[in-house]
Amino acid sequence: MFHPAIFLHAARIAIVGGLILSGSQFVRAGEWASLKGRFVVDGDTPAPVAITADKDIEVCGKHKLVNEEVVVAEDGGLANVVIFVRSKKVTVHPDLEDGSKAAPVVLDNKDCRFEPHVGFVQTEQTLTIKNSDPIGHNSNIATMKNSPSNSLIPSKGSSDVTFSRDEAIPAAVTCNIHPWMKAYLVIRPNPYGAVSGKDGSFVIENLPVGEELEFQLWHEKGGYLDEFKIGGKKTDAKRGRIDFTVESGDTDLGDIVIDAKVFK
Amino acid sequence: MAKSGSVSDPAADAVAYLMQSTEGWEPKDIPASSLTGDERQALEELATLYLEGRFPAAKASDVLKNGLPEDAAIRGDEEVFIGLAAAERDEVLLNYVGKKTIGKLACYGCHDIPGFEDAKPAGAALADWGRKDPSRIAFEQVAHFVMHDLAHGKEHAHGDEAAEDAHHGAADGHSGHGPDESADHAGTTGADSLGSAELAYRADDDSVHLSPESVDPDTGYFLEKLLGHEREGFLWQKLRQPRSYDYKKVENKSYNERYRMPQFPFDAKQREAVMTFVLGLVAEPPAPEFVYNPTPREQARLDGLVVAERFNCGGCHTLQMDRWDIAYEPETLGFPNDFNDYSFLRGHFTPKQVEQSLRKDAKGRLQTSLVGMPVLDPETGKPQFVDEDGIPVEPDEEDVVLHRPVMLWKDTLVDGEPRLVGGPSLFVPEDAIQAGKHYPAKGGELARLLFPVVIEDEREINPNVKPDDAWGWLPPPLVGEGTKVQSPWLHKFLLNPHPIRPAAVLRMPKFNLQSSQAAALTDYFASVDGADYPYVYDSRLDDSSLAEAETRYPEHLEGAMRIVTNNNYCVKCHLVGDYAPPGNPKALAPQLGRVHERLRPEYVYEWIANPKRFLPYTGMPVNIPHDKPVSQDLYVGDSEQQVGGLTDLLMHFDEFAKRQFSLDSYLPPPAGEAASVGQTGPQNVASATSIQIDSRVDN
Repeated sequence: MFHPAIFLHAARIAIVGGLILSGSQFVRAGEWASLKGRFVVDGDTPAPVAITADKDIEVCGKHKLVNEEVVVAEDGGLANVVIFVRSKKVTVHPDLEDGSKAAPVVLDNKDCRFEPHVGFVQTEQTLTIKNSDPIGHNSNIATMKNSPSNSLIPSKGSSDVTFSRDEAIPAAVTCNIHPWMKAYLVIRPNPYGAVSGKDGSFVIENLPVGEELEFQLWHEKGGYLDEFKIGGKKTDAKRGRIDFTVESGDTDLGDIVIDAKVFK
Repeated sequence: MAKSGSVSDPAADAVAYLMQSTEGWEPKDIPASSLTGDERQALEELATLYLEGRFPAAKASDVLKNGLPEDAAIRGDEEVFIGLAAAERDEVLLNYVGKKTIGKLACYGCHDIPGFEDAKPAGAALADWGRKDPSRIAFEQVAHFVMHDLAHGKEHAHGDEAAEDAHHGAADGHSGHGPDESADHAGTTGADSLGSAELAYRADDDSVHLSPESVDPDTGYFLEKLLGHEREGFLWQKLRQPRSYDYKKVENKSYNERYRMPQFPFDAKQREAVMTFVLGLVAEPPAPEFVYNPTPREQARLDGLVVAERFNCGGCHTLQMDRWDIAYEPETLGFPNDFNDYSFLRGHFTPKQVEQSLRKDAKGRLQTSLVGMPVLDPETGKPQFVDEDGIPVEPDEEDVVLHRPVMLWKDTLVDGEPRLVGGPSLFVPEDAIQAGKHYPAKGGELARLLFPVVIEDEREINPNVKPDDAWGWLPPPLVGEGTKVQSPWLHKFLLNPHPIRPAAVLRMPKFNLQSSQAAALTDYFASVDGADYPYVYDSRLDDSSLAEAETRYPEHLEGAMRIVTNNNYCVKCHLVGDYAPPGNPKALAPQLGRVHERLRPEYVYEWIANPKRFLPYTGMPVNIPHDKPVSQDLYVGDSEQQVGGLTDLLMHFDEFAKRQFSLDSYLPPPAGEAASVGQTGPQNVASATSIQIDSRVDN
């Protein structure tokens, strides 16, 4: 469903309920709203490839491991799509400005995979890397602007990491001991980002109302998503970048439909 | 020469040989290949001449007639006679004679001719001819020839006028138009090919004598030198009439043994210039102050390079990383991260280096030098381009400021701040690279070539393969090898390589190096890295040092061994003694039991602290973070003490292993216990403190 209060500025043009306006700005200081939607795949995607655990088989061999590059629900909901505010100048809700005050984000080495597969963390927010497995893991975070970190996390142990710089693209996290394990971390300078859940849905809360913001869409397999449909209308977003202006109230983009060919 | 008097033209033979090569062109208007009877006879005579240089006369005749048997063990030009078929006989002989003629005339001296790449120069070496011992110069009978030539110039087949001039010159001592110039003239009219008649013995030779004083001063000078068998005289005549040295020799010299040097059309002045040059080639060593006198370390580098190039070490291994000397706009290479690691891993820069790093040039740019690896595209293996955020882009993409990601292999300063090995890659704007200079890596071509291939292979097994891991499966860069390994080990390894990294997809072959070559390579690596060699003393290797550490830290080695064998740590990946971790070999790491003979203690200590500081692409994690030691149940101490304990264990692994072993079970039991031992039998056991691999750790 396409919410009329959302101003979609693809190619710097605002669309309101089918009318085309140009360069509209409705900044309302102190008002915050949330943005939600659901990523859906149109078409068949390849079935997840099973992974054969060839290390610590007595532990990892018990779990049904699959390649999690493309995770699609039965109804087409696409998990692990990242959507975040790319604009450098964005008014951040005062309660959320300081990442160090936010609750830690947990990345768990569990059942010989990372949970979650794609995580979102704000700069200075604590990332707690846990190991719930009875075996040792390491979490090799290949950041581009922050110092790469690669700590060994003993069984039942944990390690805290913070990032002082944001990363333009999600950083891969791998375990060198169990080479099939892979996750991604989205590290942004503000809290405005989300990763779609198993059903493809996402919510970004406390966005400033009336500010034209550039969002970016990314998926592990599809890369920057530059072609999709919102409200049934085809939208081009070069390198996954698209402008939205959020209006008052909770706004729902409805289904954001992505062609399955992107994942082949 | 055929009986009819016609001759075979060597040039035609050479043409025939050359015409058979059709690489890059198609021969047209090829003359009829069939030979006339006379031509064939001449061809066979020439072939015989060459064959007699290889075989006795009878054998040569037989080879020409019947060829060589199929199983003849023979190498060289005569191979073409193996299985000589009647149908191809003319073609084979033409090829053979043509090739031999090219060799004889040394056409390859000027022309690039396939098959003659390794042919030796036709003439004598001139590099030190200026001091060649005259007794080793073959003057032959040339003095007689010159006497005769000067005295009876008219009678020779030179141009009559020139000979006349020579005669007058000799008579009146006129130097301007003396015999020299007559020879010059002759030289340009074909006298370089003195005929057999002119070179043959003449009855009046001995009666001819000419005094050097009787000719013009220049000629007289050289004649005197010639008569005195001095270099100047030889060279003078060699340049005047090179083949005159065959004078009186043709009777007992075969056609192919005659001198071949052509007579170049020099005039007297040019001849003197050439003589001055050749006589100056005395190979005298330059004055000591101009001789490069390398330091022992530099000499070791140069000696090692010779061996490295000879055995193509750089074909697989990177010997020197890429270097970019760049000029960049301030703050365009990102920002440094806070240093949050062991203090001994901090980068070290002098205040002067920092100051230089902040000094802008006339264009307002800063300079720095980046040593490292370009980040390669895992799909293509080509250097990657990214935008300012590090997002991969195509090199021709519009509206993007192209950057090249560089993985540092040497600490450097950017904007006056340290950028350390093991940190994030630097994204270098293309304009900063263009404004500076790039020095490509030396070696490592095969590793770079295989980089995308092994990733693709691994992807079939593990779709989540991490591109950087692929470097660990390929021939490793040898940058920093000198500070990493112990010289005696490297010397032994080079002589007899053995597998070190189970994950490697290639194995180093045995090159059958001589011990001196292995030593040169070993010293090379130590010298380029500024490491001590060939003998290194490190107190950490001393037993006394170990004893002191064990006094200070109870269970020093045992605690370290508990870390090694704990299922969370080293044994997850490393081979240790007879233990091999199960699983994919790509995730296996080197044998820890041999570290004590392979690696330098200081390297091991710092490597354990943070492996990425030394090998930026390594997947080995930081097992003991500087601010979070491993469980005290394993080793009691802080992070540095635990790192020290592990280092001591690895560097004294043999000593530790000996402590676990007892000979008691092999020795005869004391009287009275024999019966009970006899019931159980001898046991080869470790001591009671044998290590259990344990995964139960509270961290």
